[in-house]
Amino acid sequence: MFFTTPLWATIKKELLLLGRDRAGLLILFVMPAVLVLVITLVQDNVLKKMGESPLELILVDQDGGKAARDFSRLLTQSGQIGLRREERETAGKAAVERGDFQLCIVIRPGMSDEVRRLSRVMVREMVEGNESPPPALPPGRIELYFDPLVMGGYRSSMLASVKMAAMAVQFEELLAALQAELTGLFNQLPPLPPEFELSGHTSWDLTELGERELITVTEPRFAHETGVVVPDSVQQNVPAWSLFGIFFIVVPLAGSIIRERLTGTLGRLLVMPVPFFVFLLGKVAAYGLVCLAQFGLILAIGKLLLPLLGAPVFELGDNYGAILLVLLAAVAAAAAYGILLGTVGRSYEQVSMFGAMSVVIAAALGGVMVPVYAMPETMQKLSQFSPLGWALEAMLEIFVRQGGGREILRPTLLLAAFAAACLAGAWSYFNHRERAGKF
Amino acid sequence: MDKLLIARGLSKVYPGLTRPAVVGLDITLSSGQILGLLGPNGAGKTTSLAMLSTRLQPTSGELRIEKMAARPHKRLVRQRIGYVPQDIALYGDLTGRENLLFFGSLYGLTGERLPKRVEQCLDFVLLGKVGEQQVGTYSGGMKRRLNLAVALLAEPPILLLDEPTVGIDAQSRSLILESLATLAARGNALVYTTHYMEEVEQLCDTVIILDGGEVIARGTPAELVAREACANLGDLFLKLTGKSLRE
Repeated sequence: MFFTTPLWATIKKELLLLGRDRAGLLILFVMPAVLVLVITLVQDNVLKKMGESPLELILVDQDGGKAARDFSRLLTQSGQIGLRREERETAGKAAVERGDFQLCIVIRPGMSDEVRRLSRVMVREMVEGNESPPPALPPGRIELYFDPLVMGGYRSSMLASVKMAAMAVQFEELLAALQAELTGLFNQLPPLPPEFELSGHTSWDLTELGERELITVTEPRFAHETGVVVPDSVQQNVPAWSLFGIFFIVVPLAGSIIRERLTGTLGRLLVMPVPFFVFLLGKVAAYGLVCLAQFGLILAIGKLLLPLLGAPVFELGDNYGAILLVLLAAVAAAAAYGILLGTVGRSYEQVSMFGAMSVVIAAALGGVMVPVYAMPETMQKLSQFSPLGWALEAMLEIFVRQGGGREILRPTLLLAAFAAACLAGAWSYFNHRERAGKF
Repeated sequence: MDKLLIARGLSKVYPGLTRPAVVGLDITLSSGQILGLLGPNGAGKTTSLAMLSTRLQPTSGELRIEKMAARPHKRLVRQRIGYVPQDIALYGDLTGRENLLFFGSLYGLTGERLPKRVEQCLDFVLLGKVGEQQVGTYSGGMKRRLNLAVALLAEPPILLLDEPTVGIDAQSRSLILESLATLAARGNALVYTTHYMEEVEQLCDTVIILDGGEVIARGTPAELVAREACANLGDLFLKLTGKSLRE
């Protein structure tokens, strides 16, 4: 039987009202669905670093030799990359795993010695015209530990920068070895007779020097990354736009509160023999159900529709508990913000405009449109204050970094605190107005 | 007769203001009585109704509903009061029946009792045939009637009505007034605010006129008109409250 308890009655009422609000439904379901489709397809394989500020990377130099110094100098020469030096490899990797940095470069011990030794061997063999294969000396090693969130184009451009710097170091070492070899050769020659005329010369094939890799650049994975989901635009966009849709319930939720106040329905509810929090709980529950349906829709798009359009399949993983926890925290934060706006706002137009704008701004700051690491530094700092950013951070921890309860604890608590603060603000403002007789 | 509502010295001073909105309001209302609460804009009618409906906590004074002190028994007291706000406090996107089902459940009606009571209320205000239509499609008069029906759902002995006939056609107004008279005849006690003096003369046993938050006249309409030697209640009202415009 319908309406057997006030809470169920309120949920039922809200769902009925939402079902008959076509514009509201359009906002809640069609908009995020269209956004996730369009943005994902547009970004697929073309996501590149858009920020103009230098990119901060971590460098762990376990070698300390000349080649390592040259490498870091060449890497930062363009001004596009800034290096933060870290003594311990574990600390550097941890900073990347936390998402504080996108890349940790580890130069392994002995790289400079190996590059120098190998350069000399190769130059000597070239000068002596030795046809035998070069001795199997281990090349110097540079290892790159990427944040799993760093996607295709951006990852490639960083890799290219590192390889270019490594190659430049290799050539500098080869040139130095060649110079030393030639100097030695010339010093061994007797003085030339005055009538000496250059009538012929020995030719050396220098291309050989460039063909062999003296420094290898590898991308080992973090220990926990076995079976890690390959980061792509789908893994980024599906959670991002589903959260955007969830936060957009702010508009119809705040609007429903405003409408109830302006039509006098709120006044009637306030003299009903039911605690007022039941009405709020009913609203939150009804809109929460809508959010879950919305999330399911976006997941279905990521799983079924996007692959049909040529994009990768969205990988949900199996950490359902963590997903549900973040989802509920995000719904609570969005609903509480909607209640605050609906309480403080004066008109439907005001809250719909302000609500929509604030959600778009929070989404932009939170990394929904452009990943936070690709933003200028100031924006990255501001993104720390975006509830959408917290929710997205937690979702990406689960979907990309394969994180669990410990990793999502901080953003989930922040979302809960935000929800509590919004509700407290709404409650305080509402009570103030009621006591002042501003019905 | 049973005293259903007793208000003693109800006063309200809003925070930050020194002038009280209502001072020392005394009301005693028995079964079958209709009290007209009159006053110009800003006289304190809305504040008085808010205190009587328990929405607003009085600064001082006491309210008892069926001998129960209102403050400690707020939920029980609210069950016994039907409130008809001045606004059309309904959900326009829901049907008339859905509105009544929702509000009825808030009054604690469950099971078979709920739909039965909903049908009774719809029939009482002659909306049984349009119960499945969305309220947004109703005329002003139909909405006013449904607004009244919501307040009747829990069969409360006390009804507080805040200008329930404002802005509607003569037929709907006549129906509402007849319905209210029927309710009083059944033993309900009504507090009725309006700016239509002829309605008060037609309906109310007792009248309280408020101005500046204070009771400036009290009695039956006939007594008051005779006491001030006026032609009717409208003249009396203007004589007591003046002709200067109120904001």
